[in-house]
Amino acid sequence: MTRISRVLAFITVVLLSALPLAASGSTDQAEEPITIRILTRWSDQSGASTAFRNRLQSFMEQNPDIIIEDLSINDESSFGEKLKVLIASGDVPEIVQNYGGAGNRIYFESDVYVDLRPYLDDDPEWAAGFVPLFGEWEFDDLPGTWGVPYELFAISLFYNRTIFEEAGLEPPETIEELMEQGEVLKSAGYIPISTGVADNFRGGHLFTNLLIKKHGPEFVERLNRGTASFEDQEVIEILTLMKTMQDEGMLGENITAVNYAADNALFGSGETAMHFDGSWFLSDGALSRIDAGVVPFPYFESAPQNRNIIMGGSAAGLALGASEDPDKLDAAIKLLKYLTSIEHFEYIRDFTGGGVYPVKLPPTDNVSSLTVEYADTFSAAEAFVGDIGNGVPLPQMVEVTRNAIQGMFAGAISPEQAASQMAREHSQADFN
Amino acid sequence: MKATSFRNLGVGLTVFAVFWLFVTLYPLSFTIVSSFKDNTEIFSSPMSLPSVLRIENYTRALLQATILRNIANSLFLSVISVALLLFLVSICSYVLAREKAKWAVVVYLVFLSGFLLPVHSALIPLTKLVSALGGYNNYAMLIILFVSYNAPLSVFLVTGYMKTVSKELDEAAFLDGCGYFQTVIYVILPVSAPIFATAGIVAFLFIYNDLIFSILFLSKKTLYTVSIGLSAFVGERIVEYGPIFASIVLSSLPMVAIYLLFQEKVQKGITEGAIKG
Repeated sequence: MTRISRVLAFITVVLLSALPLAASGSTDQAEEPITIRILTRWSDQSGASTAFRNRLQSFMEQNPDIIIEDLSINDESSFGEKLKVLIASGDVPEIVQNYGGAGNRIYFESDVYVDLRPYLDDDPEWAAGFVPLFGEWEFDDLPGTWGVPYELFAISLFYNRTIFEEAGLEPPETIEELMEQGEVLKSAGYIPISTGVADNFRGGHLFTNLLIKKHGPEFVERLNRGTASFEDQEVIEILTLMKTMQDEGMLGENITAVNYAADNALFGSGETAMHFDGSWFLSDGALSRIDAGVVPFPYFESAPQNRNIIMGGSAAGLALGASEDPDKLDAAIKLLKYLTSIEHFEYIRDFTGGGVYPVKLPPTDNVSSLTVEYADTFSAAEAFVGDIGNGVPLPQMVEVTRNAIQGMFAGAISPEQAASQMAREHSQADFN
Repeated sequence: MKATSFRNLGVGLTVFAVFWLFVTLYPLSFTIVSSFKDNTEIFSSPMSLPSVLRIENYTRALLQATILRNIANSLFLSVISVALLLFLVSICSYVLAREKAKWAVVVYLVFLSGFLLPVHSALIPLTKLVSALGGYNNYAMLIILFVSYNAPLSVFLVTGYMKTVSKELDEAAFLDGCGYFQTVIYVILPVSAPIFATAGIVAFLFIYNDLIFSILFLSKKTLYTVSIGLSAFVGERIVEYGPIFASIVLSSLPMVAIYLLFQEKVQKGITEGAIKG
């Protein structure tokens, strides 16, 4: 064998043998601190996410025996892919961002996550700090509390004060006023209330708001229990109204090609007079460009009893991944309490200068006036209702509802056909 | 008559070429122009030049998303993986191209069967394997995965090419006293350079643009690759497009440079591959 051959052979052997060794790393972690993993979508550069990461760092400084491995990835599909793979491989992280609802029930039933009820009962101070928003993680026929709320949201109506003042209008209190003002705003060259549905949740949110304001939470509960149908006149009436709003140009032009970011930009550029959105919109740069105000989503004159029924509740929460290691479980509980404490949300509020949270925070002057105004929009709330379909025991019901609405706005189907699509899926649910 | 037809054809081709130039350059120019805008301007005036040059988009891409470090990480992973891949493939393909025994055919088919395995179908067992080996946040593990995943296509390309290289070259090298390694290094590799460039570029692009392996197996920010870095401005509900476009511009630069350096080899590899089958 020549010299070069020997050298090459040696390199090959070294490389092939060294790589697996390097990859395997050290597994002797017996004396090391406990490592727990957290998977959320708060890894972006927004204020709330940055503040969240700061708190993880603070926790590790205060608890040197616990190391947090932050697996977070903000992109929705990447987050979903990573979570599904980790669950399927039996390697679910100790703390996971979770939205609860029927879509996650299968994981709760199969003990992928830990029932938090015993821990809440053992620590009344921690439990009492929460606004009662556990609905997404509690089920009548499945004992336990499978997550705790982390985000609070309510859909309100933001408006451009300048446009309204120029037009001599007050922000609408009722849907009837909204429709009348739409004509004035359109003739002044503005989109009354831009609703791009390229992101299908926008149509879904409009549907939910209109349905609960017209028919109240009782009808939604009947849908959830299967005693009402999506083909009932109540649903068709709302879908028809939405289609009318589109046809009259209330929602903007070519709305199936307009996504959420474009919707926000239209509001920020002063092209649309109103914009319905949740608490997350408070941190959108669009608001810094205009003089914005915010009022509750309008109610129907014919249904004043539903004036204070608000689309909202808990958005994301945190769930505890099942772990066989009791030390890890204890560390995860400790971190979970830290991340849902009043002190934690005070820090987030101060860091971001606003926001609304799922715990009972003491009042402060250290928030923007728009945040205060926004909080007022649901201060009189009598009930919070989430997305239509979310309470139906069928994981895909919300998505089916949103897609049918998107199809209706695209002109592919009529309001009645959209209702039929929803009803077909709804009939597949097991309501027993 | 012929001259008139030719001129007409020339005008038609010119118009088509200009149109095609516009179609090709539009996404690039849109990306560059948008990298100096904010969301409102991108959506309200997508075709216009920026009213204010928002250099802060680049500052944020560099400082908040640490895009330069992400680029360096991706380049490191890509270069090491491709070098290792091509080294192993050169030896493997030479044997598969020259050996006529049945076992060589079986080994070749095993490599080709890698084509049939969609990456997503392998994610769960891979995750279990990586977890068992403690391979999270470990570049060596990622390099092994990248080499393994790109091996089937590279072996297919290089073996096919080497089969077209005359055996008389090997025999001449052996007569001159070369061993197997020397024959591969000094004789076979130089004449196979175009196909190695092609295989290398294809693998490089795959690794540089990889998202799924990086998402699953990296969680330390200092180890993040370009694909993860690009998502730094995608919030749970709000997407900041200006810094994203700035990050895209920055992360595209190495790929453009590499392509410009190797385009001749790549094109040659593709055309020769087409001729030689």
